[in-house]
Amino acid sequence: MTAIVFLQWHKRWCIAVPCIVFAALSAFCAFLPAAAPPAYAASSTAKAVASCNPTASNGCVNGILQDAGKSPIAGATVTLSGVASGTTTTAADGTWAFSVTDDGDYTVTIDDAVAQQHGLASSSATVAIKKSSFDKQRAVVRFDQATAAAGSSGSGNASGLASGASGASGSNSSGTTSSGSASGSRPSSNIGMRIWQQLYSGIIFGLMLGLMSVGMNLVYGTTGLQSFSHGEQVTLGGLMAYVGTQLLHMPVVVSAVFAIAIGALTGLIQNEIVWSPLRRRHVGTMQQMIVTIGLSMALQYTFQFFFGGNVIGIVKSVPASFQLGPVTTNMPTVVSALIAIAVIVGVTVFLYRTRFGRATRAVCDNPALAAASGINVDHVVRIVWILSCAMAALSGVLLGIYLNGISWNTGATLILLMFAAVTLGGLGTANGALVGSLVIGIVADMSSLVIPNDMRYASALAILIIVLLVRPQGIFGKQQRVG
Amino acid sequence: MNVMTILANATGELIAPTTAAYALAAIGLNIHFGMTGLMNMGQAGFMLLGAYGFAITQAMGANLFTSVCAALLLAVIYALLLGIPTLRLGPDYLAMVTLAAAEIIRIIGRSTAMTHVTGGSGGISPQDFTEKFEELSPLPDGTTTIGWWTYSNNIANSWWLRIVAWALVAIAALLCWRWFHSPWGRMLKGIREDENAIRSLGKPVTKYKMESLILGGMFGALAGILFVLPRSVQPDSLGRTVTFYTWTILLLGGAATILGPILGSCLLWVLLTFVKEFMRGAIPATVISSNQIEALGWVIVGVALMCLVIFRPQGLLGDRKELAFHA
Repeated sequence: MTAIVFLQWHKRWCIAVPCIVFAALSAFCAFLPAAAPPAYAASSTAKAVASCNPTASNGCVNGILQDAGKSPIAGATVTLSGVASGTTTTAADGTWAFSVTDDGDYTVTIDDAVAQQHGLASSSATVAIKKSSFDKQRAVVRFDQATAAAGSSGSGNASGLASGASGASGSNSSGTTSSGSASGSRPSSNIGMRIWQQLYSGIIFGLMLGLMSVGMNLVYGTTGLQSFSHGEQVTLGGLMAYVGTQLLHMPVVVSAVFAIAIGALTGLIQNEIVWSPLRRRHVGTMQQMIVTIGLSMALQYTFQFFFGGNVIGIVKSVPASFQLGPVTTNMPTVVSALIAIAVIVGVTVFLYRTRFGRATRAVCDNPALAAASGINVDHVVRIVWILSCAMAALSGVLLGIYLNGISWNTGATLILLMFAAVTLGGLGTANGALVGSLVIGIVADMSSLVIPNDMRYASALAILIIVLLVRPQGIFGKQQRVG
Repeated sequence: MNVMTILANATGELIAPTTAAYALAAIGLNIHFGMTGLMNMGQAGFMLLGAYGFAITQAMGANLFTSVCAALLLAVIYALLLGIPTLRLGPDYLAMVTLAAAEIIRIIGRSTAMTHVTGGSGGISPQDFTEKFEELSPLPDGTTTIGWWTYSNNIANSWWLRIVAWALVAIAALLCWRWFHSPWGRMLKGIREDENAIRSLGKPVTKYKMESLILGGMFGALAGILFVLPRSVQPDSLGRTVTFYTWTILLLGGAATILGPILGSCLLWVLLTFVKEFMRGAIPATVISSNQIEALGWVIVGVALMCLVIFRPQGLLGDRKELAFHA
C-alpha cells in the first residue's frame, strides 16, 4: 500500500534528479571556455638523442623497444610525429629517446612489419608532453600493450579501466595517454559530439552498475547487510569468463554462462557457510559488514595471487566500431547493454509479478512479520544471495568485455560507486538501485567533460554525500528508516 | 634461508615508525569506535589529509609547529564536514560517508590536475618535507646499533623518528586512559551503549559524537604524518586498505581498551612480516613469486579479520561484555 503511495510521491524526484544533474552539466559545458588546440610555435623541434633528461626547456619521449619476450630489439626505426617530427634507430639495448621542446601530443610509430614480427600489440602510440607538469614532462612509450592503441581511439572505454585499475594498486603504467588531457585539446566544435558520447558511455556504465547494485540492494533489503565483497563477486565473474575463453578455449557465450554459474555457486556457498550461521547467532549487521571487508580483502588478493596484477582480456580481438546516431560504439557494447536491460527487466518482473518475488519484498519490508505469515525467510535469503551473486558475475563478464579487460581489483574500484548508487536510489529498494546506478554512471562519465578525467569517480562519490545531506533515505527510500 | 635475518626483520617491525603510525591511527579509531561506537570507515582519509597538510606546508617553508597545526586543523575541518550531516543518521551512513570521503580525498590528491600542489599520483618526495624534522634531532649524526637493530640516527627511517613516534603513541595512550575514565568518556560509552537513553537524560548526543570524531581524527592526522615521514606522501599508499588494516589492528588488540591498539599493531606487523619473510625463505621463487607472497600476506590479514570478528570480536584484551558492536 505504502509502496504505491511512495511511488507516486517520488515520481517527481526520480525524474527531477537526473534532469537537474543533466541540466547542471550542460550548463557547465556551455560555459566551458572553448578549448582551442594550442598554437604551436614554428620553431618546435625534436632531437633524437641517446638518452634524455627532462628540463624546464625540453621534455622527453623515450622508451625501450622490446619484443613480447622482453628482449631488446636493436636497430629498429622509430618515427616521431605530431607537434614536431624526427627519426631515430634503437640502440643495442633497445633504447631510444627524443628530446622535444614543445608541449603537445606526439605520436611514435615503428614499422608495422617489425611490430608483427616481434609480437607487439601495436605499432604506434600517442603520448602527451607537458613540460610544466612533472609527471608529463617525460613520456615512456610502450608498444607491448594493446591498451595504448585502444586508449587513443577515443572510445573512452579503455581509459576508464586504466584510471580505475591504477587507482588502488598505485602501479599506473606510464606511457598511455589519459583521455582527459587528449580530449581537452580537441577542437571545440566536437563538444556536442562529446556530450552525446559521454552520455552514451555513461548510460552503458550505469546499466552495468545497475546489474551489480540491484543484487546488492536485494541482499541489503532482506538481510540488512552492506556487502563490501560484492565488488569481488563482479571481479570473479570477469575472471571466470577469462578462464572460460582463454584457458578452456570455450566460446564467449558458454564462458559467460560458466562465469554466472560459478558466481551463483559462490553465492550459495557463502550464504550456507558464512552468512546463514552468523544470522542464526544474531551477529550484528555492522559486525557482519566488517566480515565482508575481511572477505573482500582475502578474495581480492587471492585473485591477484592467481591472475597477477595486470589487466587481462576476456576477448582478444578489438571489435570494429560503427556509428549509431551521434555516438560511436561497437557490437559487443550494444549487446552487453541489451543483456543488462533484459536482466534488470526480468528481475523487476520476478519481484513484482511472481509469488516468490512478493515473498522477497515481504522479507525486505519486515522479516519477522514475513516469517510469521508463513514465508520461509531463510530460503528467500538463500535465493537472493544466489541471484545477487549471479548478477554480479554477469555484470563482471559484460564489464570485462566492455572495458577490454578485467583485473584483480576492478570490482574493488567499483564498490563505492555501487554504494553510492544504492544510497542514491534508496537502501533496500530494488528499482531505486537501477535509477541510482544510471544517475551515478551518467554523472561519472559526463563529469569528465568539466573536471579532469581521473577525478570523475570523485564526482560520483560527492553525489553520495550530497544525497545523504539532502535526502538520506534516497530517491525511493522510506522516510522512517532514518534514525 | 637465514633464521636470524628473518627474526631480526620481524622484530624490527616491533619498533618501526610505521607500526607506531598504525598504533596511533588505531588509537584514534578506538576513540571513534571503541568509545563512541562510531563506524569510521575512512581513517585513512584523516591520515592522508594530515600527511598532505604537513608535507605541503613544509614544502612551502613553514616551521614544524605550523605544519603540525595545519595537519590537525585540516583533520578538524574534515571531521566537522563529515560529522554535521551524518552523525544524526544511522551508523551505516557514517560508515559509507567516511569511506567515500576518504576515497574522494585520495582521488583528488592523485589527480594530474593537482600535480602542482600534491604531486599527483607520484606524491611528494621526502626531501621536500622531512628536512626540518631531521634537523630538530638532538642525536649526533651516524648510525647506532642496539641489539640487532641498526638504523641511522637522524635520516629517513631513523632512531629519532622512532623515538618521536613512540613518544607520541605513549602520550596518546595516556590521554586516552584519562579520557576513558573521565565523565566525558563515560558519556561517550553511554552513547555507544544506548544513544536514546543518553538523549533522554538531556545530553547533547550529537555534540559529544562530534567531539569524539574530531579527537580521533586528529590522532589519525598525526598518524598520517608519522606514516609518511620514513617514506614519501603517496596518495595510493594511504587508500582504503590502510583503513582496513587499522580496523584489523583495533579488533585484534581489542576495541575499547587502552593498550589494545598498540598491542594489535605490534602483533600484526611482527607476525605478518615473519610469515612473509618465512615464506620468501622457505618457498623457492620459482614456485611462488615475491608479488604472490605479498598477496598471500593480504589474504592472511583478510582471513584474520573475518575470523576475529566472528570468533573473538572482543580481541585479545577486550571484555566481551563491553563489546561495542551495536547496530
